[in-house]
Amino acid sequence: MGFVAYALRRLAYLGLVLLGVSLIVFFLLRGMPGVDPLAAYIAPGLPMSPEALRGLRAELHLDDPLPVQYVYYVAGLLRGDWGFSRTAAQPVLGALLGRLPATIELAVAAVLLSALLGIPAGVVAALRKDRATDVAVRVVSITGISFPVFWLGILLQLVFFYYLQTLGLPSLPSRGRVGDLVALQHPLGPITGSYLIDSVLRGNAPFLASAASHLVLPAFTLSLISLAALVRIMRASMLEVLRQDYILLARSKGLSGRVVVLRHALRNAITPVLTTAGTTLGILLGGAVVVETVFSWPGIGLLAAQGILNNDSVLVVGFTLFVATMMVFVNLLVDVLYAVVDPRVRY
Amino acid sequence: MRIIRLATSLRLVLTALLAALPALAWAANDTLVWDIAAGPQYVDPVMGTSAQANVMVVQNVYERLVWYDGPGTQPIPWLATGWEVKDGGRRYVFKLRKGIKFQDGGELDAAAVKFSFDRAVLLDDPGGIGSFFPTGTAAPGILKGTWEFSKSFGAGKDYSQAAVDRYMAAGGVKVIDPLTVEFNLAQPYGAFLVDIATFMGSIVSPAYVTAHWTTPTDPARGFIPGVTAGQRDDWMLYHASGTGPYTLETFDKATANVVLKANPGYWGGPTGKIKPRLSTVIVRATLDQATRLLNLKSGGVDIADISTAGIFDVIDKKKWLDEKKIEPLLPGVAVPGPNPWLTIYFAKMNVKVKNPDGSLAPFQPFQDPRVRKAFASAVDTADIRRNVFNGFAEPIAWGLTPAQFGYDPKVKASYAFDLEQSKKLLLEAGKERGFGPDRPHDLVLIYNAAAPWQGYIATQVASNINGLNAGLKLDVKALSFTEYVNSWRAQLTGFSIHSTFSLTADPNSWLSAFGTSAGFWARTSSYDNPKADALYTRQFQALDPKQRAKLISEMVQLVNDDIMWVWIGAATAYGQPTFNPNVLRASVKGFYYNPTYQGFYFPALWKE
Repeated sequence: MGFVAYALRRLAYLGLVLLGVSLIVFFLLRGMPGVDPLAAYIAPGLPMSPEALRGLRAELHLDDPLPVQYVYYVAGLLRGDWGFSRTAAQPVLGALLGRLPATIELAVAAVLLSALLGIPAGVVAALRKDRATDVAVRVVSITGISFPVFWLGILLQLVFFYYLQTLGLPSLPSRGRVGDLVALQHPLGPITGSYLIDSVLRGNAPFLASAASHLVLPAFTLSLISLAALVRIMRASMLEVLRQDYILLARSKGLSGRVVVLRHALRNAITPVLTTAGTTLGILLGGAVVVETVFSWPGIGLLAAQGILNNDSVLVVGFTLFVATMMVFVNLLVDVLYAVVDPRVRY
Repeated sequence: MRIIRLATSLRLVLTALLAALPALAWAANDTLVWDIAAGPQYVDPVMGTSAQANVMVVQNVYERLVWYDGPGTQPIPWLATGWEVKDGGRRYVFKLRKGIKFQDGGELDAAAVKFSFDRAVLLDDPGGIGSFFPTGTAAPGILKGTWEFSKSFGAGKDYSQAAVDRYMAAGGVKVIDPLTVEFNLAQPYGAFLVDIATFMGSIVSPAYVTAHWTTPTDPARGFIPGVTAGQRDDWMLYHASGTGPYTLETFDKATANVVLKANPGYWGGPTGKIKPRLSTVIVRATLDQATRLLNLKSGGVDIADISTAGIFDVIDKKKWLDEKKIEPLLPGVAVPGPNPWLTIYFAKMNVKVKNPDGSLAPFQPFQDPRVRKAFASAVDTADIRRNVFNGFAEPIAWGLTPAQFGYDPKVKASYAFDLEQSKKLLLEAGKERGFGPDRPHDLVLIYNAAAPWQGYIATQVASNINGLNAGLKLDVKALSFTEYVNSWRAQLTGFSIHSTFSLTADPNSWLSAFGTSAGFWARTSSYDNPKADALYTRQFQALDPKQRAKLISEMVQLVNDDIMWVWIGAATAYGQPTFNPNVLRASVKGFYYNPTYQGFYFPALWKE
């Protein structure tokens, strides 16, 4: 089967998966037994009259049978009508899309950081298999993933923001995406939504420096979610490759250890790591809720946390659907990239 | 070539690093930074709002005809020089100050006042509290013509040009001359001045609003220039032009951060002496309390929201709980308070418990006043105030706080925590209602699983009642928020726990909600006492404050004696709360507390 046919088939599956996801979130919103779904759409304590409630009920088609409601719901989703968020005071889809660039910037930075740390660590661990370095790398990476992310985030804030600042040393920011005064004095016109890219494109150096310094702590905290997995996969993959005949051949040809590792072993061992990193990106996009909350990073995760605290179930369900959709797309993309990176893969 | 490129890159990095240094420095003395738990959602004063942070911005950027001087809670002339009340309280005539300018350069006049109120009516935001005034919650409404236009809240309304024209012709707000404006009310209204002192009475610049408005293309939508009937104004949600001491410099929708700048042309307020000393105010939405606390401790922010649940990281717990003394543990931090707030905690009992299909449930224990009193007597409110609210709540005999007009400490409580009394009442009532120690009846208490404080109260009540062995077996059930709201709104439950807040110091909205059959909380409890309804209307229309206060006392005593509500406490505050109370760096000076403010009035503050 050709690549195009494979991609089309995957796209069709994708439609089915999304339909399934929409069915689940629809029943979360509307199908709870004994619960009037209208309760999800109104703020408690707001004095809405019975007429107003009737109007809202009609608008949401809540008096129709559930299957009919579902058709209206899916039609709304396809039109971009994902409901109105009380928390964001705007339509759910617009609110999520508006905050997506911040989350993507954070998640990409975290993936890059975990690759930057995880790949060399994995390689070194493989080369020093069962020796002290290997054990140390494995212990550190497992310990890293074992810490709750919110706790680690607060700990990093305490050390790199509070203690350094108290000692009068340069410190890293504790919250936000850019310094308040920098944003006021050197405003940045958005292009892509990524502060780093936009500030480079606009040549806005103060904004770039501030945005980069704000990214360090949240990106590092988030990277720890995927770092341990990455180290272990890199190590296993490297060990596997190092056992191959062509590595033995390369060594017997008298090539230096550096050339063998970097040119022959690493190139072949890195494919599964790249696909893992791709899948991890999807996980991080959804998993940013805690990190974004701790660091007041204005992405979709923080919005979802605000929605949860505000009992805004329309937003929370929209967030679930949004992240599920992204995961599906990222997985598809990773599968496609797999073929590009590894020419042996045929569809 | 490569060297030149390298040099350029290096220059960019170095410039960036150098430029970043000032960002790491402390905020200057004329800049105030506030880490708020939840930032504003929008700042259009005609929008209904449940977010107090919206009002915080509005009260600094816009002004009203009357407002509050310092800590006072009685409105004084502000944009107006004074007023006359005519026709037995149906007509209010205001004289305006001369020479006040909007931030966009336009002049304040009677036409601007009329535009602002007409805009509030015609935009008709269904979102809630904004619709209280000037529409009113019950016929015949407040401003003439508004009830007919808005018919209270609700969808399916007539927003045609004919409807708009009918409202405009009713003459609710009239320009008499450039400096005189007249309000014609559909009925006498004693709290009119208090209502126009809230954010809902903010005066906007007509020129600014109209410049950013487009004529609707939908022929079914009526309009006046600048306002489309029944449609939110997307520009004004995030932009502002008032006459206030601060201008809205930026509003970041994604972060909910706002930056306010001192208005250089500010007219100085009624005394002419108000001059903002802080040139910049940065309000940053910081959801995580640990981060807010860290920023406060480091001195990076001047004000931080700290909830009562986390206050013992800031003040000495023992001193506060045992001696009622607020003693900050952190150097350089001030915790002004406690002060009366406009939030109350209560439980409600429902006399018509329903089945999910809407029919009446066979077991209706709360129809018996003895059962209601027994439940009220089984709530140890003092324990709850101390252990759930960390002592930041005061006992109240009725659902008004000491910060509100009409609060009367002489109103008698109709119950007290007394388990013996509770048992006696339940045993008596059980004989007639079909339950007793030998015939125990199951009853479920619900609470919102996302609100652990409700769980504490529900568990306490259940444990106390079950311990009496008086024939009621209570089971506590934590519900998801949606199920919880559904349960008490649809009257599926007999006993539920709540909190509510008011955006004004006037008691009207709470008197209506708890005491009248059409009121929000009363309706979901099927409470109906025609005498209370009549007293409510009389106090609503009373113009003499003394007479009104007397009627309010009479009404609250009457409703109190019916025991529909268990008053757990009135929240007390430190700092100047929006949704959460807050603590300040000691370097912030000029603070005074006013319960009618939502967050700080920044012109009062400066830094040393």
